Amino acid sequence: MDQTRLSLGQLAIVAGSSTKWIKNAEMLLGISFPRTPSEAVGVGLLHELHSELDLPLSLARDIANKVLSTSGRTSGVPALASGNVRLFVDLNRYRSTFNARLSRALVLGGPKRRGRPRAAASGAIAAALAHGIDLGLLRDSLRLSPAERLARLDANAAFVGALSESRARAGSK
Amino acid sequence: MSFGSIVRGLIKSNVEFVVVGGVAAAAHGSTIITNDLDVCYSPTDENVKRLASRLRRWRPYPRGIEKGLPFIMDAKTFHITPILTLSTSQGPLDLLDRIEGVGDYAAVLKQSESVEAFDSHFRVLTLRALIAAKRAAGRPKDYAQLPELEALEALLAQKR
Repeated sequence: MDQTRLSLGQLAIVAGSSTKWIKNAEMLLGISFPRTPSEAVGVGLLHELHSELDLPLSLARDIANKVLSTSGRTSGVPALASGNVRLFVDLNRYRSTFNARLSRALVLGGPKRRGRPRAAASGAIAAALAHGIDLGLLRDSLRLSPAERLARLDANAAFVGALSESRARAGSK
Repeated sequence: MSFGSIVRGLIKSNVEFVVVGGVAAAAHGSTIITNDLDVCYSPTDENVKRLASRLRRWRPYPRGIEKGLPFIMDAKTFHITPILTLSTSQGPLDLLDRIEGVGDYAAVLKQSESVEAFDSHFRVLTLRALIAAKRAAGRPKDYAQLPELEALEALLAQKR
């Protein structure tokens, strides 16, 4: 699996928690959660056991570790030292959820722009010109119907997609 | 890959949705090319079931992660993970239950307008709401699109 280092915000998305929960849990457990996708797989389960079942963090961590060290689609592990209580986890579902959250974290969870939010533009045309935007292109686009604009986008996106695939194929040779 | 085939497929399955993001921006006149379709969907149980059923035909898989890992496409997945970033046989598709800066599906629907394209009628987020969403999202790539969207709004105001 990709060993990209996740930011705090991305780790929170992967865990299905808030960044505050991540920070508090790290402080209470006296550890730093791993930030690579393959190692972060247990943080979401820890959060779920702690938040949904109200288990103490340290017990939740022990159970999460035990569960994830087993193989198979479901995992039943002793939840208490007495052995009287077993906890069953649908590992296939959990891993599916983790993969969906990881994708979201990687695709949408990048860093946010720092600083104050950008104010609404007062001179939008001047600002666009300053950004190098071709107003002629925009005016041409506005002369088209939405159907024509979207047909053009579809064709352009397909063209760019085909170019990327061709480049990837050339790179793999 | 075709945005049209995704939109037509969703309509055929009676999925309630609003197109947001770059494709909605293009419908309003943006010249920026996007390679994924962003859709805000109604989170009702029936709609999510219809959506999951349609997506299963398109071999969905979380985008950007290693191939071959477990991924279940059903209504439960939408309840656990309401924002999904998928690759499908029809192209990349992002599914969201709410839009930052606009609100939940009801708010998104309220701030949408009907367009006719891809031989279909469907709804896209208004230009004004798109600008609010891009501003609220706050990522560099969203900010980079703001000057063009705001210029489009100003040009449209000049035409009126």
